[in-house]
Amino acid sequence: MFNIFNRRQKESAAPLFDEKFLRRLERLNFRTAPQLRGVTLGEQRSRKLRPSLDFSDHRPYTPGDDLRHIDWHIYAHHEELFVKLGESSQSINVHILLDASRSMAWEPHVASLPGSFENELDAMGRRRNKWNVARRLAGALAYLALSGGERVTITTFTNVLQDSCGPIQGKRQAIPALNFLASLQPQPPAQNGRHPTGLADSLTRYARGHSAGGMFILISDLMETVSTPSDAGDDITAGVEALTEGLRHFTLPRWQVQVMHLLSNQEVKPTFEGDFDFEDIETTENLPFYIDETTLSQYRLRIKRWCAALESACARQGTVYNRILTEWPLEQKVMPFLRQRGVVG
Amino acid sequence: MNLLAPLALLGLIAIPVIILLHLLRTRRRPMLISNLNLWLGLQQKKQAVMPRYIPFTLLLLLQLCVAGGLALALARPALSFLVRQPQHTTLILDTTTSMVAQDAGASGQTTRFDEARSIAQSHLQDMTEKDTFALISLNRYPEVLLAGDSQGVPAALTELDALLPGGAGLDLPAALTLANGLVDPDRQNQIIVLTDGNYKVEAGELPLMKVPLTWHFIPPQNSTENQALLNVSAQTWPDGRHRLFARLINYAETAANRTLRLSVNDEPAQEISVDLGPGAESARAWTLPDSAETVTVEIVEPDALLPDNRAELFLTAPSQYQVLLVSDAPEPESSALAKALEAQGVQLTIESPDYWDNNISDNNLIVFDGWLPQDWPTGNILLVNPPLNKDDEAEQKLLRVEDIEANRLRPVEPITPTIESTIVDIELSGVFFEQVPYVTPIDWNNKNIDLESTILLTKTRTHTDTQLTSPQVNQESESTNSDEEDIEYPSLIIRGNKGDSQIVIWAFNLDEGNLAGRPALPLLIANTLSTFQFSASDSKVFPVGEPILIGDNFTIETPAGRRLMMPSGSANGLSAFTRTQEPGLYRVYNQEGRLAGGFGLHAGSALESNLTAQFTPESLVEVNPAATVEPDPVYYEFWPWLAGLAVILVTIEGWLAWRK
Repeated sequence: MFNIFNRRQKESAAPLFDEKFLRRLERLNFRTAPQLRGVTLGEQRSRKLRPSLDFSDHRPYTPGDDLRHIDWHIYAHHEELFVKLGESSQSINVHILLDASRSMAWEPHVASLPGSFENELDAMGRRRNKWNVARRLAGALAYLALSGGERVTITTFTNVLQDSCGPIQGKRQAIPALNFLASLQPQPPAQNGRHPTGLADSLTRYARGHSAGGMFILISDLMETVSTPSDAGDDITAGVEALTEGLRHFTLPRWQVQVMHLLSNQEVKPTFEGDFDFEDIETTENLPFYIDETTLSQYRLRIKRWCAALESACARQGTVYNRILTEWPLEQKVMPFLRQRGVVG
Repeated sequence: MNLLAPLALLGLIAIPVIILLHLLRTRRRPMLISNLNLWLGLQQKKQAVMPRYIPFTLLLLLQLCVAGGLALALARPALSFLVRQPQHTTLILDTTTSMVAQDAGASGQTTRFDEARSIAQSHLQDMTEKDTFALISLNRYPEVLLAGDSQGVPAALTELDALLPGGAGLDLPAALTLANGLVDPDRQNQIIVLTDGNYKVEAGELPLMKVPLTWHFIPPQNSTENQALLNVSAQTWPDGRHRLFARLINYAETAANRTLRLSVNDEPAQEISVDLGPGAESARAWTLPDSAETVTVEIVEPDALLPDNRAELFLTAPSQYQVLLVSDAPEPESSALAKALEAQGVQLTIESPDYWDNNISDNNLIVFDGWLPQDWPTGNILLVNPPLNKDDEAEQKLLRVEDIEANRLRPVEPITPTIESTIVDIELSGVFFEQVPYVTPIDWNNKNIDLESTILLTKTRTHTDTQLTSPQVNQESESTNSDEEDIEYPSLIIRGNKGDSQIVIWAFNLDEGNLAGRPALPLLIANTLSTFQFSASDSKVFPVGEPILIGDNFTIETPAGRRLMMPSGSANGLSAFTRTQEPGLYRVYNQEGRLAGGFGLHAGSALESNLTAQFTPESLVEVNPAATVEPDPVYYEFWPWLAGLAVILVTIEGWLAWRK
């Protein structure tokens, strides 16, 4: 027990990544929608060709391209629209909104239960709970963005927006950004049962505070979107509307939104049975509960319906929904998954 | 399995208490969940206040085992079948003369007593450490010969080896009563009777037993034939000669021819051959010279029971035979009976019934003539002309003398002299009797009589009456009185025993008929006198097994030549000599070492010489359920094992708790 305790003390100060991982991460690029506007010049030029006033090459016009980049000379000679490409020093805003609510710190605390985190550590010796995975995922994406010359803003939220780092730009800012992430703590347990997480409100406030738009990455377990079953039925998907309400302010083409939905495998497919005294990690409410196979089947079906509702809500808002299990290794599983989803390339 | 302290099972209450404590102690496992709403509303089994199941943890199981083991250990569980229960074995060993019969064993050459002794010894040798035993002799005076536990078995076996059988008659009820008294309530009891069963047993006489009897008959199937000498006695006449009398009885179902040898002063004197029919008897009488001191009568041919083939006796010096005549005749001294008695040389005393005292015992014979006392006195008795019972004497205890028919009886001629010793060698032709009543001894052969108030005229009832009422007599009677058919003729002479005394009844009146004037009367008197067994002090003949009073400081030489010194210091100067199992002549020497006398012990007895088993034990002896003893069984207590197991489990529990 003493070893475990000591290790937990070291977790907050330990870096999120080692240098080898960061070097391997540099092989990836942060991919954004082409129509996403840049806001400022970057410190260094991008190695990629973009629609730019500095001519270097042409490509055919696609809807959404800035009309200012059309090479009207070619149009005059060939009556075809081409866009002038060049090495742009323009950067985009990458907003990473990290859920720091208490639910993100959840992990199965029954050591004897299967799926316990006691024996599942990441490469840096951290347990693969949602909070650690979220911070590592945010750090990786931030590092990619900073490496690409993007302007990165990392903000945490609970019921309101919390700490923020950025906007920062330049690869040299990666270290402060990672240190910021490493120093973050999840929200302490709520008092008086007050509902701690305000997802819609936080998203709304963030969108209004960053009207320039950009790449918006929401990393959360979205537990806010679980509504209390009514007496009439056990539908918990009504709470998904909070996400819809929040994302409504992140509209194209100003915003490109990626929702990283973090869940533990024990949350998706719990395997424990017996008599338990449930305690909501956020509200600290208690509920004696007897779990058997029937209950677990109903629970799994409910989770499945909830995730489907979330994905559907994201799709309606033009948002990419990515469900990531905390048990997935970041380098071997999460990054390839994001690459497949077009987040990184 | 028995629990010696069942109240300790109350300790089992600890088991539900422990379970309850575990139920109370068992809390639901706390579980942090990220959102309670994910679980709300899900169907679940009804949540009870207490957990719905008993948490069968290793700790609970250990504690239950400890509590159960300790409670069970305190209850002292015990198993009886693991321990051989201690037994008390009572062996009732028949030590009568018939057990000397050499017809037992596989070869039929072992004596019955040796076979029984072997069985008794095997029972003793099979005893275990906690067993006890008792050995009771079955004879006229049953006693506890040996008793003890397994430690005393070697000594008991030695004493059993030295035990000699011998004795006439037995008292089975007394032996069983003795065995009943020896029943050990703390042990499982068994009573084993080792006997040959050659005696009659009436179930009503036997006591209710506390434990069932095990009868062991030796041999199991008895058909042994035997001939025996009985009633060998001698009378010394006033002229110094001796009159020797002996009866020879064939207890076989087939006829037998036996040679009877007479030896005087250890010198063979005469041998005669005797033919005996099945179950028949023959009497012999010899007149011996006054020089005879010892006489031996023996059956030369061996048979199964040798001791009763030989009889030896000392011949006493001449002494006058004392006879008391109690008569209600007007002049008894002039009666034919008195004259006939005086003619025998006896010292006759005549008394009137008015002066009769039942305690008179210094006479060799008491003759009642026409009168009968209320009780039979002690000693030999001749009853002549028994008085008729009057109406107010209907409850006559001794005899039933019924009305006299106007009959005239004449004995058939010739009467076989070997049939009855009383009329042997008597010429009865021409003798007739008149007015002979029907005399029936009350409860003559009925064992249910009260032995204290009624004479015991038992097995030696003679054939006299049957002879006189034989078909030959009937035929003669029919020839004289053809109108009387199926007439039942009265008995003329009746003879029987009462203890050591004999009783002879002449049912006829000498004043009627013509016997008084015939020569047959003195002969009949002489035969009757010789029939009586003389008292021990006179004839010095005793049955084997009987204790004999002998003066202090006398030395007794047994037939085997051993000399035994009688102890001194007894209260009346007499001590009982009990080692009388061996038949033969016993010589008695005084302190100076001179021969002072002697006595003979005879094995022949009507009670012992008939070797045929006469009863079957089935349902003979009842067991008294109320008195049945059920001993507390001996248990093997295994509570220390349970306690030890509980300690081990407590240790394991402590180790588990420490490890946790």
